[in-house]
Amino acid sequence: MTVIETEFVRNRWYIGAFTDQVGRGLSARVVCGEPIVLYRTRAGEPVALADRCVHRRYPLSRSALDGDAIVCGYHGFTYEPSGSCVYVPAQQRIPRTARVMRYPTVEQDSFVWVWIGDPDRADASTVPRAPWLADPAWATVGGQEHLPARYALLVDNLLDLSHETYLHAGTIGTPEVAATPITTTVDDDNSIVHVARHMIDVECPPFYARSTGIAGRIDRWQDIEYRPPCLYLLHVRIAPSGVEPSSDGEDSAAFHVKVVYGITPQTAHSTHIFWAVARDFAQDDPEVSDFLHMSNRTVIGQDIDALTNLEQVITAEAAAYRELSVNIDTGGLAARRLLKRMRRNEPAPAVATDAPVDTAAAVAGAGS
Amino acid sequence: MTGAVYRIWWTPGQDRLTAVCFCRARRECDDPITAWTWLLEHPTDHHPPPERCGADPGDATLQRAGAST
Repeated sequence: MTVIETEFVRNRWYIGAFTDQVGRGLSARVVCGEPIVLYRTRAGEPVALADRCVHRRYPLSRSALDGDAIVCGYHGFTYEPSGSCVYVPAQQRIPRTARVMRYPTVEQDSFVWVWIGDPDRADASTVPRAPWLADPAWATVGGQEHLPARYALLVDNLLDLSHETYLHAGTIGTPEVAATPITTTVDDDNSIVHVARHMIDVECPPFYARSTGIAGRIDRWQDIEYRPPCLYLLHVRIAPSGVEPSSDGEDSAAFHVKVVYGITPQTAHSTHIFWAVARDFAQDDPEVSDFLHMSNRTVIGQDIDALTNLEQVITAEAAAYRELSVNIDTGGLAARRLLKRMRRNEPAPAVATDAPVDTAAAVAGAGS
Repeated sequence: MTGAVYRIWWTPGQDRLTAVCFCRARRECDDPITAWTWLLEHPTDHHPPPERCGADPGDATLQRAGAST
């Protein structure tokens, strides 16, 4: 019997936003169940704070910036980017516990990454990379979508691209995708799943025919690189049939696309999708950009519809149910195993000794 | 770091999967549950030839990982 997990892996980096989504305004986002307010200081540094005033839980994202500090829109409690409260209305003393959590952030590859786990475990060098997105040699389109389904369903979806044939016929799906065997490789030390599907002398789907201009049959490589839990990379190589990379790796006769998915759990039953499609051809052609943007949104919309239905089905079913796994699921099963291991290896939550609550009021049970 | 890399090939034209451990042990399997279970449960000292690798694998590990048939 199976349960498609809803539990988060907290001690990992997740994409909180695209770089250009974080500015001098306050924006709200929930990551792994944690409400976060994002903004940028005057010096340009991204800041992620808990989106709840310690006083009465008012959302700081519904408040205002004064310089680099957030002034709570309800009673004026004022927080520095460190999360420390520096002003309490009408009194001199600032309670020791008057602070909100500041979440570590890293700005890299056009994303703002956040760490919602134990801050002492946040290592910026472990943020997974997608360097093409910030490389001027590549043209990138992208967007953010809301998926009302648990993140594990999206992982299943992306690790088995045979569904393209059926769910995405007309854009990226052709009969050969489902018909071509895969090779699955797991780098166990680094927790990376690779799934390779190399299709030789196949039909070129509209997604690539229109963007590359190739009219005939193609060799189409799909090389998945999944870095659980948060980042999925699909390395695509499209070339006229029979055109191979040279022995030294030179491959300028082919077209290369990097499809990037940031998978950020929002709640146990919803997910943020940060997607991007980068290409090394027609970089200056806005029509190609518009076409790829529109087409990929269509593809993602089809996935969202399917996974929304699936979420509703499995949520309504018994706590455990039976599935059937076949060859196409080899990569998805590998991803499930790594995610399970990550959840199992999560450190126990620290016992809060200075939780930001008003202890006296809590003891007294005082409400508003 | 152990250098552990596991690979499962799906042979074109067939339904069979070939599971290959980093210790070079390999086994043909009918489905991915069996393949992953064998890869993760065959002898942990990884000295080929893996004599136990031909034994019928249990499926406890993958069941724990949420991967059932």
